[in-house]
Amino acid sequence: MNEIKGDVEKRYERYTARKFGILFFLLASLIVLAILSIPLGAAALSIRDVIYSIFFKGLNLHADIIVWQLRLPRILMAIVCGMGLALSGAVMQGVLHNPLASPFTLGVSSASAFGGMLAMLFGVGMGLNIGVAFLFGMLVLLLMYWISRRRGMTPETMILCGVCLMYLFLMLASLLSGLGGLTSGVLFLTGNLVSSNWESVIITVLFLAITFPLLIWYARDLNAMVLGDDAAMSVGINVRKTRIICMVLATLMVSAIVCFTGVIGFVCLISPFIARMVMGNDHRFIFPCSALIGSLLLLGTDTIARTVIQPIEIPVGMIMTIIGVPFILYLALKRGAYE
Amino acid sequence: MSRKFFVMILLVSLLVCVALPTSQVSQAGNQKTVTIVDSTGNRVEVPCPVERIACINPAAIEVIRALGAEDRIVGIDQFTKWNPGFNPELKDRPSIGMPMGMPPNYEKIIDLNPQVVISYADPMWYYPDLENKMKTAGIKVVRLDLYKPQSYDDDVKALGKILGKERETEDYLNFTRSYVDIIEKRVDIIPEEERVNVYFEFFMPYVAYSNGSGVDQLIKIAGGKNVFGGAKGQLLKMPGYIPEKSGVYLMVSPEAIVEKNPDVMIKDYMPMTDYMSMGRNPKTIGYTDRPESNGMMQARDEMMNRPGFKEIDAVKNGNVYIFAFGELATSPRWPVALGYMAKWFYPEEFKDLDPQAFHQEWLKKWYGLEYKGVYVYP
Amino acid sequence: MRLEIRELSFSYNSRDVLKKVNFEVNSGEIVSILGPNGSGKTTLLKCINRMLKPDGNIFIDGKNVNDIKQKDLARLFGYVPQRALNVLPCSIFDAVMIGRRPYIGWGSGKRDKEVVFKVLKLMGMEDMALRPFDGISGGEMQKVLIAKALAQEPKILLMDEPTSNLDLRHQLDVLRIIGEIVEEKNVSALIAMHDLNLASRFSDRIVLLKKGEVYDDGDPRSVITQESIRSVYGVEAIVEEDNDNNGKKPHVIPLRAI
Repeated sequence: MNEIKGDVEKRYERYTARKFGILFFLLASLIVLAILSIPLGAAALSIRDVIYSIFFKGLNLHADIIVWQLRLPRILMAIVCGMGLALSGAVMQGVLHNPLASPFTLGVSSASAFGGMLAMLFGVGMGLNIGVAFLFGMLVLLLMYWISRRRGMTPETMILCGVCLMYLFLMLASLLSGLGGLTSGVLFLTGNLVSSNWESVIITVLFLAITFPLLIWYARDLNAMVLGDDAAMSVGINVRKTRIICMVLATLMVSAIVCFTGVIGFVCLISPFIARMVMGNDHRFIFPCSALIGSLLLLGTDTIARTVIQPIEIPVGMIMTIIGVPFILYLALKRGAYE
Repeated sequence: MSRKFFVMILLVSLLVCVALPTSQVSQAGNQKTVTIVDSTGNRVEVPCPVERIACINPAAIEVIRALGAEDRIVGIDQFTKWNPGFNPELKDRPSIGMPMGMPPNYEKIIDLNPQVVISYADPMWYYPDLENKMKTAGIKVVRLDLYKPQSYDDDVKALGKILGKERETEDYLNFTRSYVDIIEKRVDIIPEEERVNVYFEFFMPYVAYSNGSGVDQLIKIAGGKNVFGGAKGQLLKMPGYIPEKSGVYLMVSPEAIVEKNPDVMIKDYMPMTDYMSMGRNPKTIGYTDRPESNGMMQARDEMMNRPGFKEIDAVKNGNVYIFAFGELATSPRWPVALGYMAKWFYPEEFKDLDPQAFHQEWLKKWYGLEYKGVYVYP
Repeated sequence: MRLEIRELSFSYNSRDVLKKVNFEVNSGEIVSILGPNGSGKTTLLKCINRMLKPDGNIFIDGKNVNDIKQKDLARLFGYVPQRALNVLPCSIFDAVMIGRRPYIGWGSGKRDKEVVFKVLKLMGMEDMALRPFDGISGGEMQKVLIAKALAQEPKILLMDEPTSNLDLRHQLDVLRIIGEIVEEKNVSALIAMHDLNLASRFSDRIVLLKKGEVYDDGDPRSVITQESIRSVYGVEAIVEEDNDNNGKKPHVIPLRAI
C-alpha cells in the first residue's frame, strides 16, 4: 500500500513539474519570438543595424528611431496586451464558470470600446477615456453576471446574450464613428497596435502590474470556486467579494487595453482555452499560462500584420479573427463529437 | 510566477529609461525654413526648399508633378503605386501604405527619411497619430487636401511655397482658374429658380456628399443645388476635426432621394476588382490602356432601377451620370469634372464647352501624358 | 464537539423556511435530518455553516458561531454540497486540495499534500488522483466532495444528501466510510437525507423536519413511526422492526400517498 501511495505522490510531483516546464517553455518561446520579430518590418534595416541600435544606441540615429520608437513599443505592446486580454479571459471564465466566456464574447470589450470612443469624442484625457471605458465594460459584465445567475442558463445561452451585447455596442460604436465622420473609428473597432508608443506601453504595463499579482493571489479562491459556490463558501471563501474583485480587475485591464488598441477579439477566448487544455484547471497555473499564450499569439499575429503585405498595414484584429474563427469551429466540432 | 513577472516589469522599465532621453532627435544645421498654413489650419514650419517628400495623398503627388518637383518624392501611397501608367516617373518609388482605410506604415516612412510627409486633412483619412510618430524622427507633417475647390488655391500655394516653386504655382493656378472662371461667369447669369437640383452619390449606395465636401462645392460652382447640401451630419466632434474644412458623408434614405426629386443624379464608381487585384492587373477606369465602361454602365443602370427611382426627374429624363471615383471630381483635376457637370446641368449654355479637350490639354501640359482612358459615363 | 441549535429561524423572500428549530448534535454522533422536499433540510445545513444568515443562535461547545471567523469556522465544519459544478473540471487532487483552503495561503505545504493523499487513500481514490473531475461517475464525484470535506479536518461534518446520486452499492459504501470516520476521529456528522431506511440504519439520532419545524427528535425507533410518516410525508406506510448488529432499527415499507 505504501508503494502505491509513493507512486501517486511521485506522479503528482511530475505532474506539477510538467506545469512549471510548460510555463518556462512558453516564456522562453515568447522571448525568442520577441527577439526574432525585432529585425522584421517594412524598413530595410539589417540585423546588424538592429543589434547595433539596441546595444549601442546613438550610432545610427535613423535605425534608433525605427527600432526604439516604432518596433520595440509595438512589440512590447503586443506582449502586454496579449497578456492582459488572455488573463482577463481566463478570469472571466473562472468567475462565471463558463469556458466560452471572454471579454470579447461577453461584449465587455466592445462596450469598453464604445465607452472609450464616447469619452474620446468629448475630447478629454486618456485617464478619463479608460474610466468611461471601464464603466461601460463593468456595466455589461455585471449584466452578464446577473444573466448567468438565472435559472436554466446554459453557458451557450449566456454567450448568445454576450454576442448580442457585443453587436449592440459595436453598432453603437460604429454609429459614433459615423457621426464623428472617422474611418479611424472603424480602425478602432477592428483592433490594431499601429498606434503603440512608450506612453501606451507604460500605462498598460502599470495596469497589468496592478491587476496581475492580485489576480494570481485570488487564483486560489477561484480554484475553490470550480466545484461551485457552496463548496467554496464552506471552506471559508467570501465568494461574492472574490467574484467582484476579480471582475473589476479583469475589466479594468480590458478597458485600459481597449482604449489603446480597440477591440482585438479571440485572443482572450483562445488563450485561456489552450491554457486549460495543457494545464488542467488550476488557476494559479492557468493565469500565467494563458497570459503567456496570449502574448505569443498577439505578438505572432501582429508581426504577421505588419510584415506580410508590407508596406500595407493589416489591422491585427482582422488576422486574429481569421485565425480565431476556424479554431472556434474546430472546438465546436470536437465538442460535438465528444458529447 | 509573479517573480518572473516582476523581473519582466523591471526589464521593461529599464528599456523605457534607456529610451526616453534620446527620443528627441536634434535637428541638423541651419536649414532655411518656411511656415505654411495647411488645410486643417495648422501652422507648420518646414524646411524650404524641401528636398525629400513622402506622400500619403495621391492628389499631392499629382500637384507636385505639375509643379515639376516629382524628383523630390521619396515615398508614394499604394494607390499611386498601383497606377504606374499614370505615374511613369514614380513607378519605382517605394510605397508607404494605403492612403485610406488603414494607417500608413510609419516605419517605412521613417526608413525613407523624408523631411516632410504630406497627408490628407480630411477626417475620413485622418490619422491623429501621424504627427506623434513623425515627431520623434523630426519629420514634419503637412495636411493638404489638394482636391477640394474650397481650399484648392491655398493648398497649392502652400505646397508651392514648401517646394520653392512660386512661379510654377502661379502658372498652374492661372491655368486652372481660367477654366473655372469661364464656367463661373456663365453660371452667374442663370437665375436662381432655373438652377438644377443635384444628387451626388459616393461609391457606396445611398451615401451622399453633403455640406463641406469638395463635391458639394463643385455642384455649387457648376450652378446646381445639392439636394443634401444643407444637411447636418456632424453631431459630435473628433479631436482635430474642422467641419467647414472637411466633407460630410451622409447616409440618406431612398425615400428622401425620391422626395427631393433631383434633376440630375451623379454617382462615383469604383470597381472593387481593380483594388482587389492589388496592382497585378491594369486598372479598368481612369488613365489606363484597358478602359472598360461596362462597370460604369451597370452602376448607372443600378441607380436608375432602384425601387421608386422611376419617379425622379433625373431618371425620367436620363440625366444620370457616372464619374470614375478619385479620377476627376475628387482629384486635383476637379476643374475637368466641373466642366462635365456644367454641361450636364445646363447643356444649352455650355454647348461649346469640351471638357475632354481641356482634360487632354491638362494631361499633356502638366504631366506630359497622352490622353487615354475612361472617366465619365455616358 | 457539541453542536447546539437554538431557536433557529430563517425566511427567504418573506417565506418562513425554518421556524424556531432546536436540537443538538453530540460529539461522535451521527444525526440525520429527514423531511419531505422543501421542509428546510438544505437551508438548515447552510444556516449552520453560516452560508445563510439566520435568526437564532448556533453554539459549538458553548461558543456562538457568530463570534468565530469564517476561516476558523471552515476548520470546524466540513460541508458536503448536494452536487458540484464541473464546467471547469480540475483534477481530483486539486478538488480535494480545496478542502485545505482554511489552513493555507496561496501555496500548499507538505502537510497539506500529505493530508490530501491520506484522505484519498481513505476513500480509495488515490489511483484516480490526477484524473480530471469530469471524467468520473456521479458516485465518485460525491466521494470527491466528501474527501474535500474530510481534508478540512473538521470536527463536524455537514452533508447535504450525500447519497442522493448514488447507486445502492455506493450509497452503502459512502455511509460506511462516514461511519468509520466518525468513529475514528471522534467527529460528529449531521446528514440531510431522503432515504428513511438508510438513515435509520446509519444514524444515532434522527431529526424529523416538517415545514421548517422540528416534528420529532430522537433515536430512529422512536422517530420513524407509522404515525409520523403519515403526518410528515402524507404517506401510508408499514414500519417493521429490523434486526441490525447495533440493535433494532425501524424499516419502512411505503404503501401509498394519502
